[in-house]
Formats: sequence, structure tokens, C-alpha cells
Amino acid sequence: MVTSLRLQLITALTMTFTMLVLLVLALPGYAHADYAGAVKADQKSVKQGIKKPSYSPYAGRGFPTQVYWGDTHVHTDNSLDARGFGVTIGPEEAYRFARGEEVVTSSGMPFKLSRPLDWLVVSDHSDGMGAMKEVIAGNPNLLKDPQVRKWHEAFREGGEAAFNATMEVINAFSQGKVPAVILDKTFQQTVWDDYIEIAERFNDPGTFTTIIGYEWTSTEKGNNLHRNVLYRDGGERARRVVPYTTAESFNPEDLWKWMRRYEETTGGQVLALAHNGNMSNGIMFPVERNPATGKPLTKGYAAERIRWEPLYEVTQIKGDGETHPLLSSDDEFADYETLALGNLNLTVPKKNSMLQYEYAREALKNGLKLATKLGTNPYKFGMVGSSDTHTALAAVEEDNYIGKHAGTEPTPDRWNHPMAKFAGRQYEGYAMASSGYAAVWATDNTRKALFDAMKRKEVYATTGPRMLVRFWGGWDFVEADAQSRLPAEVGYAKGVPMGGDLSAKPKDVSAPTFLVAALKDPYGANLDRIQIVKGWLDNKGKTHEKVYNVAWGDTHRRKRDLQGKLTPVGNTVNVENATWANTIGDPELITTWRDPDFDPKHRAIYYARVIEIPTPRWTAYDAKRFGVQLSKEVPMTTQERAYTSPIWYTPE
Amino acid sequence: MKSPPSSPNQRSLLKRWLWEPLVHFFVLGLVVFGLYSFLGVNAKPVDDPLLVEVTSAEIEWFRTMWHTRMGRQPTTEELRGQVNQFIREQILSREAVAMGLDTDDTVVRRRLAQKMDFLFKDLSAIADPSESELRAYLRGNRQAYETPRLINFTQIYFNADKRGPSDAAQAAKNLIAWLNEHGSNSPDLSSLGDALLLPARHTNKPITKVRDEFGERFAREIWQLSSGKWQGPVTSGYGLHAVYVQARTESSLPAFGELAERLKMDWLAARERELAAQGYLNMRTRYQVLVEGMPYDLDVNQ
Repeated sequence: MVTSLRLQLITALTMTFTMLVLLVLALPGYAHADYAGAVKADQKSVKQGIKKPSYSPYAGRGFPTQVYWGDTHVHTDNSLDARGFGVTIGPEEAYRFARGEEVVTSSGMPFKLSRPLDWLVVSDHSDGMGAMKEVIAGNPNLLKDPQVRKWHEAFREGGEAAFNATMEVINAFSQGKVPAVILDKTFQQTVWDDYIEIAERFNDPGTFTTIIGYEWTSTEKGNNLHRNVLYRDGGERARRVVPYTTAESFNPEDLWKWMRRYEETTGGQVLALAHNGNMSNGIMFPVERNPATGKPLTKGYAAERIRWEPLYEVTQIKGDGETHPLLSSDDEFADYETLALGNLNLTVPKKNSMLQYEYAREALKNGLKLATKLGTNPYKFGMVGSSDTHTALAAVEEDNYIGKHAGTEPTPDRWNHPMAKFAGRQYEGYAMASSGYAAVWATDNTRKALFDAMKRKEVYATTGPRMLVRFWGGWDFVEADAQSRLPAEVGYAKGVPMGGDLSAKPKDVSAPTFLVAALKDPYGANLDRIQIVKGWLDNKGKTHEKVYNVAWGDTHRRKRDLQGKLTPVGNTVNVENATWANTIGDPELITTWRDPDFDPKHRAIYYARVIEIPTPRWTAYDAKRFGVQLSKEVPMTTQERAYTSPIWYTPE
Repeated sequence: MKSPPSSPNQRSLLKRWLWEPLVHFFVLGLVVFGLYSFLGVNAKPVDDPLLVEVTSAEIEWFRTMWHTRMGRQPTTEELRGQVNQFIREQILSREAVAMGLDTDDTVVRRRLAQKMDFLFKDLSAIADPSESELRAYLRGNRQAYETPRLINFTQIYFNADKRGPSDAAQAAKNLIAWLNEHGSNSPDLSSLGDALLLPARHTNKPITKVRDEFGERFAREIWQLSSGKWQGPVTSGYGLHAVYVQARTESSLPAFGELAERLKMDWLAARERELAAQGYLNMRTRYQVLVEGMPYDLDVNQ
């Protein structure tokens, strides 16, 4: 007994001793370099740790040095109306085409881009996604509905009947009179899953990015309030929530609620951008009342709007939405691809009183007004261009224009085929624009980088050509900065890029300064000029605008007069042959500019508009290639342009 | 008078009949035949349009297709889903035929043709390619899998628009000569040539990106330049350039292992196209086609 006790005692002591020894041995281990917590921070090692600027000017840069080209708005055979108009190719062909491959169109033509795009959003309508395919294919379940049966037979007939049926389908959606069979949710999920699978397959980070997205096509009473929804995320998150449709609501505020729900459910991120204010008949950018409720706009509305819609699609096939000649009567370039006849299906004609709520420039100005009134600026958006083509192919270069839908792919008479008609009004085929693309200053060609750049609005719109445009705002840009060999270094160091906010005005500075630069599309035309568009809010709560010519080509023969107007650049277009020459204009323009009419008490916005020399319009290429004569009223030349996202000035 | 009892001969004849094995066989046969008819076993199946039958053959097919798609067997729930879907399709398609939707319908015709295409697709998805098949495919389609040509170069821009084309060309030539004489490949470029928004130095740039940024001609020409000295002027979409090529990297083929996944996807897609084309060809040879009364064969891709 005694022995065992002793034994136990010895065992216990040994164990304790061993533990202590181990503990002691382990202690120095804590001081080992692997355990960072115990390393003491001394002056020397800290100084060595901070990066010294490298000899190489290209190392250590965090700002974007490359622009990535894409389209946020392409419809394929998954879209109800696109399928109705005759497109028979899907998202796979859309991605192949965008990344540079040759693809055969729905009408059997081989088509190819001059250069690949860097990214693409296939944004099919969420309403009845894929359903049209089934109606046409004669899905017996859908055809049980007499209305669907009628449409099916009309499509079978083809030609005029099919066209009318397509318009009927679109109208049915806009009036909320869609046969229930088409809106089945399980059907929707299958289509969404298929779509995501294709998007994932073609996503190639660093080379070609597929951004997941869809269009929420609110067209109540024919008035266009469409929005595209873009995802930062991949399929894993995106597939968890089925897209929002207008069967659920026409009100954008409900879409924003869906977006919040998506983010909360999945931890992902989405943004929305609207388009075609010109077809909203006055309700795209409300100023006094919320069109959905009739009540005055609230702070909550403004906050939600800008939270979810950091961008606006300012230019596309169905018209350019920067401004309208009646809103900007002093702007000689305001009447560009203006399409202002009424709403989307022309059931309601346009009234001039609607215009101020439809165009981007006016909205940007009104946003300043609302910022003062409501405390938040709901229209603090960046701008991009996109096509909204319903052919699955993002081809909107003037000499390579695919058309609005499969029924208007290149044929000798497509210029004469109206896009929509109602009660004697029609959107002429030739009035469609071959526009546009979205340029993104991102740090990389990946979903995350592109989305983040869009969120901070470091983006710009073009009407098709790929000019490179830079725009910075700051308080101390000087003339010498325009001679810099690395303007981006200067720009980011001294100012904020497009989409940014000017910092607080320093006491000793009297006006903001800007550094703006543009390089022509290497495959395209020289530049005519760079302008800076300013909008501001005066003390009386009234908005104003002014367009300044800040840089122009052929300075040796062109002068800016006292009113600020510039000698026109000229015109080398040969309409008959659909050619032009780069003997006028300049390949690159760069300048610094100081606002000569600045009042520090006034809220203001500034954005750059870059204009090319005249070039042949797609109608001229059609006329030449098909050997046809078009009516006298058809425009044959165009001056393509780019619009940057604005920079905002807010008084203290 | 009582009838006499059957003669012993008569009785024994009946008995003989009753005990005759052949008779037993006949009777047994009748009984068995009667039973079978009654129970409907071995009955010839009636073409009942209102009967949808899911046999073990169908269920086996669902399992196979599921395994091919998902790489595992379906759960009970999943299998039931497949069965339900099949039943639904059967019923709907029969209803469609009953409604006469299949007669003289452009769309149905197109849909049926599409179905044949899907059939080819399904068939092509069954057999996974072997490694040797993938290697052969890679050999035959090298170009699609090669890494892009990369180039390291420095360019100095001369604005022909500002200087005039001949002046710009001369200035470029002069600078090129001077730089080559003074033996520098990374001079301080900030004072040379004209400003351009594109960088002077490009490292490991795919030649296709050079084409996108500078133009077709520029990309083509600089690829041909020998490295290690200033050359030009080379024409771009913007004007003229003096160019120094530091290095060129030819396309190379990544290791098979790296490409395996992508190859398999592409191989399956190609096989599907092949099957569809061959399948159509086989069917086509059985048909005589006349267009406007004349024999026609331009629809056949040889």
C-alpha cells in the first residue's frame, strides 16, 4: 500500500515536472518568428517594411490603366419578344460573338466583330424568359390558353401576322394581361439555371468576362421604365434567387426591394441601370411626384434610387438619351439620334412637357435640386452605352450594324421597316441608331473588378467607336499636366476620376480644374473636339447648363469665338461610297481646363463629351452595299461621341 | 322395360376415354389456356392511348442519364422526379397529337427535326472520350489551345497629323538612328517623340491585344521586327512609331494535363456536331430530293 502511494506520488510529480518542462520549453517558441504577435515593432524594421517608391514608374500602381469594352444589354432567343421577332440563337452564340468568333445570325448571315469585346451581359427579359420559344414550338400546355393559341397560329403564319402578334405579346406584358401559363415559376427556374450554366461556361477571368444579368421590363401602359440588373456574383449565388418580373410589379421601388432581398439572402451584390427615358413619356426621372404613388418624392425614394442605380444607359439603338434639342437649345450637338415620338409602343404620343423628365443631362441637373430638397441626390448616376439588340449579337459599329432585332438584320429594305407603329405613328427603321458600348476603367477583367468600377462610376458611354477617354477633376491641375507623358499618374494624384466627387474647395483656390484626354479609336475616325458639359443649381433653386469647347483638332485653322463657339471641323464623308478620310481632326486631344464661371455656393456637375469628325452612318453602308436609294429624309452621316460619367461638386 | 345397363364395352369405352392420358392432356391444356386468358398473363399488349407505362427499361434509362450528367446515382426523390416528368411528357404529347397539333404544322415539323438533333446530342453524351481520343483531338486542333503570341516592346510616337506625314517619318528615322548609335534600349522617354495616351512600354502583351490597341498593320509589322534595336517608322491607327522589340514569345502548347478538362468539353461538342452531320447524311441518302422538278443535292455537306 505504501508502495503504491509512493508510486502514485512519484507519478504525479513526474507528470507535473514534465508538464512544467514542456511549458518552459514551449515559451521560447512563442517568441519564434512564426508567431507574429510577439514580435516587437522597432523603428528599424518598420521603416524597412514600408515600400519605397520603385525605380520603375509602373510598379505599385493601384489605379486602372486599361479600359475594358462591353455591352450591358443583349437579348437572345431566351427573350419573349426577341424570339417573337425571329431570333433563333442563344446566349452561347452571344458570348462567342462578343469574344471575337464568327457566328451565323438568325437570318443565316456570318457576322464578326472588328475586335473582341472584353465582357458581355446577356440580359434577357425576366418576364416569360424562354416562354416564347415554347409558344412558337407549340408547347401543348401553353397552347391550352386560347390567347396563346392565337399567337401561336399567327407566328406560324409568319410575315405581317407574326409581327403583329409579337407587338401584341409585348403589349400584353405591358398591360399585365399575360396568360398565367406563361408565368409559371418552376418553368422560370429551369430557364434561369440553364442560362447561368452557359454564363459560367464562358466566363474566362482576365480574358473575357460574362456578367450575369437580366432585364426587368416594366412597361406599364406602354411607358418604358426598363431596368437591367447586373450581378457581381457567379452562378452559385445568382441561381439562389429567381429574377424579378413585372408580373409581380411595374414599380421600380419593388425591384429595389427585390435587390435588397437578393443581397441579404445571398451576401452577393447587384446593381441596376435604366434605359430609354425617351420612351417613358415623362416618368423616368421624376422631380416632383413619384409616378407610382402620385405622392411627392420622399427622401427614402431618393436614397433607395441612388443606392441601387449608380448607372444609366444613356445611348442605345432606340435613341440617344443625353439631351434633347428643346432642353438644350444652345447646344449645337444636342439633336443626336433623337427619338421622341411617344412611349415604347406609341400608344401615347409625346408632349413637350414630358421631356425634362426623360433625358440624362436634365436629370443630372435636377438631381442637384433634389439633393438640396431631399438631402440625397437620386440622379447621381454614371453613364454607359449599350445596344439593346434582340439579335443576340452586340454588333453596333456603323459599318457592322446587325439591327434591333432578327427582323431587321441587314436586308436592302430594313431601313424602311418600322420598329413599332400605332395609330398612324411609327418609329422608323432608319431612325434606329447603331449604338452603343460601355467602357469601364477597371483594375482587371473580372466580374468583381468590372462591377466595382461600375459601382464607383468610373465608366463612360460611346455610341459605338472605342475612343479612349480620361477625365479627372481637381483643384490644382495646370497646363503642364496636359503635356505629361503619364497623365494617369497626374490625374489620380491631383484629382478624382470620372464618377467621383470633388473634395472640399481649398480656401486659396477660386475654381475647379479638370484634366481631360481622348484618343481616337485606332480603327476609326479622328476627333473633332472635347467638350465639358456643366450643369449647376443657382441660389434660387433653378438649374442651368453650359457646354464648353475645351480642346479641338486642327487648331491651326479653327478658332473659338467670344461666345465659345468653335469653327466646325469639316466633313470628308463620301456618302455614295460610304467612306471618309482622317485628313481632318486629330488622333488625340488632351487639355486642362478651369471653370471660368464658377460659384462656390452652387452645386455643380461636370462631364466630358468627345465628338468625332463626321463619318458614314449605317444607313449609308446599307445603301452602298445593297445598291439601294433611300428616301431624302434618311440621315446618312453621323458624328459619333463619348459621354463620361460626371464629377460632382458639392459646396461645404 | 328397363333399359339395359351400358354394356361393359360401352362403360369401359367411357372409362377409357376418361383415363386416356391424351384426353387428360387436352383437358389440362384447355384449363391452362383458359386460366391464362382469364388472368391476362402473356396477353398481347393493347395499344391503349390512355395507358402510360413506365417499365424497368425506362427507369434504367433515367438512372443512366442521371449518372452521366451528375456523376452519381439519383436519390429516390430525384428518380421519382424523373419518372413524373416522363409521365407528364407522355400525356402532354399524346394530348397534342389528339388535338391534331402534329399535322401540317411548320413549327411542329421544326420541333421534331430539333428532336432528332437532341437525339444526336444525347447519344454523343453517353460515351466519355478516352485519353488517346483527347490527345488525337488536341493534335488535330492545336491552334485553338496554343497560348497567344506575346511581345515585349517599347514604342515612341510621332504625331503625323501635327508634324505632317513626311516630317514625322523623318523625325522618327532620325531618332531611331540616334538611339541605335547611342546604344540605349530604355532611354528616358519623357522627352522623345510626341505624347500618346497609350504607354510606351508593353510587357508580355498578346499580339491580339496589340492589334486591338494599335491596329492590324502595326501588330503584324512589329511581330516581324528583329529584337535588340530600334526600328521603324511603323504605322499605327494613330500615326508613326519608333519601335524597340525586347523579346518575343512564340505560341506554345500547354501540358495535356492542364488542358484535359477543356478538351473533354470541346471534344463532346465536336462529337455531337459530327454525329448530327453523319446521322443526317445517312438518312439523306435514302431520300430522293427534287427542287423545281430537278434533282437536288446542294443540301448535303460533303
